[in-house]
Amino acid sequence: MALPEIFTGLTTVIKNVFRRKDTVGYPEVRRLPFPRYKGRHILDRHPDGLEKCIGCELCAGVCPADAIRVVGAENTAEERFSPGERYAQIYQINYLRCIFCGLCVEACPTEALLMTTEYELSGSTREDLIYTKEQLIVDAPIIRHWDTKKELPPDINLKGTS
Amino acid sequence: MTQNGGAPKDTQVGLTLNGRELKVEKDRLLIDVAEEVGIFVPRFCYHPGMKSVAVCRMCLVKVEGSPKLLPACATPVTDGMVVDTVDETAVDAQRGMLEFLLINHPLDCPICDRAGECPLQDQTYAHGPGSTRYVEPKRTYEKALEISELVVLDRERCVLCWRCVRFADEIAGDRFIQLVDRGPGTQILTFSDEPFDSYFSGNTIQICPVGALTSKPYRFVSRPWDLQTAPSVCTYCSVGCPLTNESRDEKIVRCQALPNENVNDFWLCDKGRYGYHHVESAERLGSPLVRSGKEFEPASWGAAVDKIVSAIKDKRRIGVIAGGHLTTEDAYAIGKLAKKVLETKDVDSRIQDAGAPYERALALGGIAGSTATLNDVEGAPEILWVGPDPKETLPVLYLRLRKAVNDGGARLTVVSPRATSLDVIAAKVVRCEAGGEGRALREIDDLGDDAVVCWGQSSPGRDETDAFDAAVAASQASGGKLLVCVPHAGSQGMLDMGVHPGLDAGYVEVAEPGRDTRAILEAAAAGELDALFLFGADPIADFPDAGLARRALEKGIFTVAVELFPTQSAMRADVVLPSAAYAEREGTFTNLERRVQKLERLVAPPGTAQEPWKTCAAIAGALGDAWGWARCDDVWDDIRRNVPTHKDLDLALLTQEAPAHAPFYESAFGDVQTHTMDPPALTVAGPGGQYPKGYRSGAPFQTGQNWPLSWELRAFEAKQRPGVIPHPNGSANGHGAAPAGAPDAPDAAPRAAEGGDDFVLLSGRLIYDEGSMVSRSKALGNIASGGYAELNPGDAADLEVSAGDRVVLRGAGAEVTLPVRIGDIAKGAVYVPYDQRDVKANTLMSGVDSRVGVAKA
Repeated sequence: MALPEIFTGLTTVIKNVFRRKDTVGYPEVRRLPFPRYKGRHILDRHPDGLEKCIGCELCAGVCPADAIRVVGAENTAEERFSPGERYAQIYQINYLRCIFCGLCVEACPTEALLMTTEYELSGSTREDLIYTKEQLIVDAPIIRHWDTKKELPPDINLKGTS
Repeated sequence: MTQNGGAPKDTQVGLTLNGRELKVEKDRLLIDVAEEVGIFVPRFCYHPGMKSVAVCRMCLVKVEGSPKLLPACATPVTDGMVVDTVDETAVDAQRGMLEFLLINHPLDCPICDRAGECPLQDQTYAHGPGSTRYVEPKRTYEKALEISELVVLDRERCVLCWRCVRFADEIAGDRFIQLVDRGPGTQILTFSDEPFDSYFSGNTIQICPVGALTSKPYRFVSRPWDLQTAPSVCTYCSVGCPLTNESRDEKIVRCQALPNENVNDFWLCDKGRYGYHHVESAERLGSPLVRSGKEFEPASWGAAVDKIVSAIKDKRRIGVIAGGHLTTEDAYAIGKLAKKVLETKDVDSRIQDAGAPYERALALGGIAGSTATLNDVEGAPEILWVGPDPKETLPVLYLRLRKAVNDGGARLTVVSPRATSLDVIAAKVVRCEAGGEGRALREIDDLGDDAVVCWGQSSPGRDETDAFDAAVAASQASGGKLLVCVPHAGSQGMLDMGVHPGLDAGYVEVAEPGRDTRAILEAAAAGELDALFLFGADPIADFPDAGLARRALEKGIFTVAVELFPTQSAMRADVVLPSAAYAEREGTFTNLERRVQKLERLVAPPGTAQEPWKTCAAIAGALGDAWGWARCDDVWDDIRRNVPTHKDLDLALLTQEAPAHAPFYESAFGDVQTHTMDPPALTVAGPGGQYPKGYRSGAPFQTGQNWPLSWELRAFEAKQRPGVIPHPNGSANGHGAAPAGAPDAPDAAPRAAEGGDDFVLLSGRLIYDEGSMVSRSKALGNIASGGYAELNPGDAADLEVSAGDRVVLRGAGAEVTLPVRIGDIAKGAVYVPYDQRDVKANTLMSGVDSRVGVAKA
């Protein structure tokens, strides 16, 4: 007879029915990542509005996934993007290749490139996921493809804290 | 390398270097000797192409018996010397020196174009201290000073190594850049209000050991680790300097000189360095064009070739003109197509130098070209120059002539109707009458033995046969060394491969010569041809009689043009076929000393453009003669079978590195077991080479590919690809008799100028002009000098004009007004640059030895 096994199994099920759920109703309910989570990048600005990025390509050079493309150009008196001589004319990160290792952020000499906790990256074409400077710059709006009704703190369901 | 020149001495000395017993030649520099056995002594000011000054104090080494450390770059080896380059005191001195240099060096590596291939960066990593003790503010200067159209100076970064100053002074002779404010505020600067307008300014960028001198066209364009590189050969003049093309995203962004001390030493002229933009020009032809009425329509290759075949089938009156910028393979294919398939003798490759009698050099060793090499020129006790101004037309040859005179002590005689840039270093300058070079040459009686005679067509459109015969005779009398300065990178290859009415491939003289360029164009203008083929040839722009070229091409003869660009001539053709540019193809160029050097492909050609030899093979195939060529090697198999002079030339030799006994890199690493060099042929001195093992472990970039090297380490790694000079088969006197003083030469004296307005028209190219390639350079397109008329002071006085006034020149039905320059030019002659924006000198020419009327405007 298999009755004891059936009861053992059902006990597990019944126990878990009354436990707090580990899953959330994403995307309506969204769990916030930890503050040091390595998500999508941003390109920061100085307080005066100039870009911190100087187009030095060190992020691109260090990237193990070859996900970053930077082309530098020279600032002129009429068209000034960053302090100093050089700025990034083209800045692209390909999020289909990025492995979010953060080496680029470490390499950045001006602390222009930072990582946010934004992890919801999706698009319907390959081109959609190549983020340009306009999308990465700090004041660009964060685009999500759905409405989030509720946000939960990052440690909500961790064992021992629930 | 100056120190290595001269005759080899058999006196050898023994020394101990880092515990190794060595036997080397006396008087060599310690730094070179160490480098040869694989020990890299750090350095900033030392450069193998220039004399030592020992100002950077970076190469200090310990020599036993000396109370102080000695600079390895200024210490010749002596017998019994015991040297330690890694002694604690030496290493400490090197570390201290770097700390000193970094006191004022700004930390702007992230925006510096040199970063990633910077000798200061690399040597700081390898030999410098880990941190600095200096906390005070750094010295500042105004950043990014544009000191010319091509060079940007950042004095903050300068480490005062003097390399640029020494290059400008010693090598180029253009003293435009100097150390000023000597003392604690010493800085590099140009003279006030005088830009750094040297034809060789780009070299200072390449040899700068920091980012103080950077290139304006390359400014912030790329990082060294982004670059793909391929060794190639400059496509402009016939010196054939080896260079690397470097591309980012399939676009050439930079050219750098490759060292080859047989050809260019370490240098390039700015035309070669910045003249690459034509490759990516939007005007490049990318598809065959077939004429329908007045317009062209793009066509497939098949349709275009069919059109050619149907037009020329069974026609026998065909002329073929090839230009000077095609490769040796193209030359062979054109010669074969014309002579074997189209069965015509009317083939020529001399356009700008139409009528230049190169075949008359056959008397010297059976070569239609040079019997001297550039090394012969440099080592010659005496040099006789008769030809164009080499600084304008053959710039790197000019540097080698300077070196021959200044370092080698050669005695230089210049024969010219017009001042040349060589005059200042010449021992003797003969200012002859226009056209009187031959007579002047024969009157020279103080030419010693073993002199090298250099001849080049000095003025397009003039019959210089007499001068050439006199040069050949002078060379024969003196030892047989003749340097024939053909005009373009591919000109000598054309002569070698028989694209010449009187010569077949391998300098075989034909019994009945065909028509030369002028005769072909005359026949076309008279309607006596059925078809005309132009391979990279633009007679309207280049032939010294623009009117004749225009009449020939507007006669309605079926014309096929193989071209890079829609040139004036190509736009008058019936079928235009696109060609691949030099960076888009494999191949070889033969330079003026007949050295064959290899080009490698770096970028893709636009559209369906292809190598002209493929086009020739396609046309031949459609005419029923399939050659079976698919790759460059196939062409060479054919060349080896059919051209006796090239029968032993193996393409593998061309990618081979310098043999162990070549100077400077002599046995470099050859017997060093710790550092095995087994790179593929392409990793010559360019980014992509490898570090010496143990020099620095672990590349800082994880991707690892293409990790660039600084110039120093590249030179340390560099293997020159010396190229090959094929030996002619015939014995020294196998071809014809010596030209006996040119008995049938025309009277050397020019007609006396009749009245004040009948002038001999002298011309010649300036370095920057309206040539179809150089004018498309974004860097050089705007710095051409423009046209002018150079007159003798006496003639100017007769015409009542002074410098800056304008004169009207009339000739060949054309008329042009130009500003006057007064110069050292023969009386009765006027010089007009050949191809400038505001004057095409060939529109003033008609027939040979044109004369023009000159009058005050």
